[in-house]
Amino acid sequence: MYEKIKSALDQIHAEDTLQENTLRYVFEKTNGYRRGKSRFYRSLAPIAACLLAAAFGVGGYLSYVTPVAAISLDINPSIELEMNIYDRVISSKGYNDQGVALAEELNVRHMNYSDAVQALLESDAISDCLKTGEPLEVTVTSDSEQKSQAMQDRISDQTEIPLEQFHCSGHHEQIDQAHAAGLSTGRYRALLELQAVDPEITAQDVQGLTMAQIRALLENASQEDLQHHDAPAGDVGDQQDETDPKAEPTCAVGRGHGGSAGEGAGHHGDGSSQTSNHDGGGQTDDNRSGSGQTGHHGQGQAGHNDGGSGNPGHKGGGSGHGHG
Amino acid sequence: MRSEQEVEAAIRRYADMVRRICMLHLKNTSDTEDIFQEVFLKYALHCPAFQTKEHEKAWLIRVTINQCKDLLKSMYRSRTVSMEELGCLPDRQSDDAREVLEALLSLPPKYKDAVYLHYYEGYSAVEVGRMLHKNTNTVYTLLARAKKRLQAQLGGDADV
Repeated sequence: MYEKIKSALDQIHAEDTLQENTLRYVFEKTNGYRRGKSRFYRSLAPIAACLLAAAFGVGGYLSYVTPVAAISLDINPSIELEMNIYDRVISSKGYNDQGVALAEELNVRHMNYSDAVQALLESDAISDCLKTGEPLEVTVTSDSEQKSQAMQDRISDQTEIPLEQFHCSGHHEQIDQAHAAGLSTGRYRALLELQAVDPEITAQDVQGLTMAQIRALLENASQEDLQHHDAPAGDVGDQQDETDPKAEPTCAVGRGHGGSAGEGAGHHGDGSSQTSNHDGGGQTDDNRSGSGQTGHHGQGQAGHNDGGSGNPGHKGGGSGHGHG
Repeated sequence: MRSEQEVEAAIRRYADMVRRICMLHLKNTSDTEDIFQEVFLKYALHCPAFQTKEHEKAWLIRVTINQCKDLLKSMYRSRTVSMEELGCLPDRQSDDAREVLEALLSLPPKYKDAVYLHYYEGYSAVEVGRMLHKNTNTVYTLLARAKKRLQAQLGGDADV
């Protein structure tokens, strides 16, 4: 049987065509016996996948921690929020004592910016100031005008802050300039307005002031500037002596927003001698007359000059100097 | 990966062996060709060097048997072989050879490998057991049972 099995199986041979087909098959499957190269690349695939995942991770992290917009809330506390491209707050920083205290007390990081602003407005520090009628200024800074506008609308919708109280502040570079000066973007914008009228004013001069005081200072400086042009020199000196906006930096400080709008009237010729503002507490009494079609920044809106009502109100005033 | 020359040499040397194992397990030429090609593709891609020619041969036997089993498992094939399937065998066989092959193919699959390796390739029961991952005594049992079946089919004159 052994021999039978052997001789029977000996007659089984692999056909030539089978061998040729196999040679061709192996040649094709190995890419002409160069498969080692592709296997080498395949062995690199997991490493490449890891690197790609790491790149995505790092990229995602960087995109999350990179600020692209800022919102500055300036009332008495001065606080600034920085947002990433996902509209999440990545930092909150105070720019005066109250602002620092508020930033430490209230953690708004990783919140949506509108929620964060809402939370800040509901904080005691800001809500107390709002109750006393302190003007709130919201400054939105972003490289994109559309983005800034969208942010304004969204915050306004959620917090019911009138759009008149919003200011768009140029480009993101301005944030850096403001921070370099030790100010929030809102205060820095106000400083720039001040410096336009009185170039001698520095960031240090406005650092400890409330926004109401800064506005009062701005108004006063504008008046002085006006008097330099329209009134005898002696009057200007008198006005200067009366002004002491640093006397009482509290929330109770009066309203200064109407100043810039009303001051437009002065430029038109008849408001120079009507202002008797700053009574030691930084209060401004905007008893002015005049049409005031143009704010001193050149683009103030019509209709905010109250014609001697003495109560310009911060809302109306905001529009007078805003939208720079 | 092995060179083209190495693969060509291996095909020349082992083609018949692989073909015989395929013939014992598979029913048709297309399956045989598939397994044949896969076995030598594996050989081409097998990087570690073989210590000896015997090692290389044993490796190819093991791979061929496994490939055949995998194919049969995957296709849920019947393990019986019909007579028509023998039509795919070469026509040059004598009647005796054909009778023996039919008897071999009718064996249960677990006997075929033991019979082929022991009676044809000349491996000892211990070596067969090592190659098929079976106990040596199991191999002896398989061989004894296979012999009985073959004797019953081919006549009692076998003297294995």
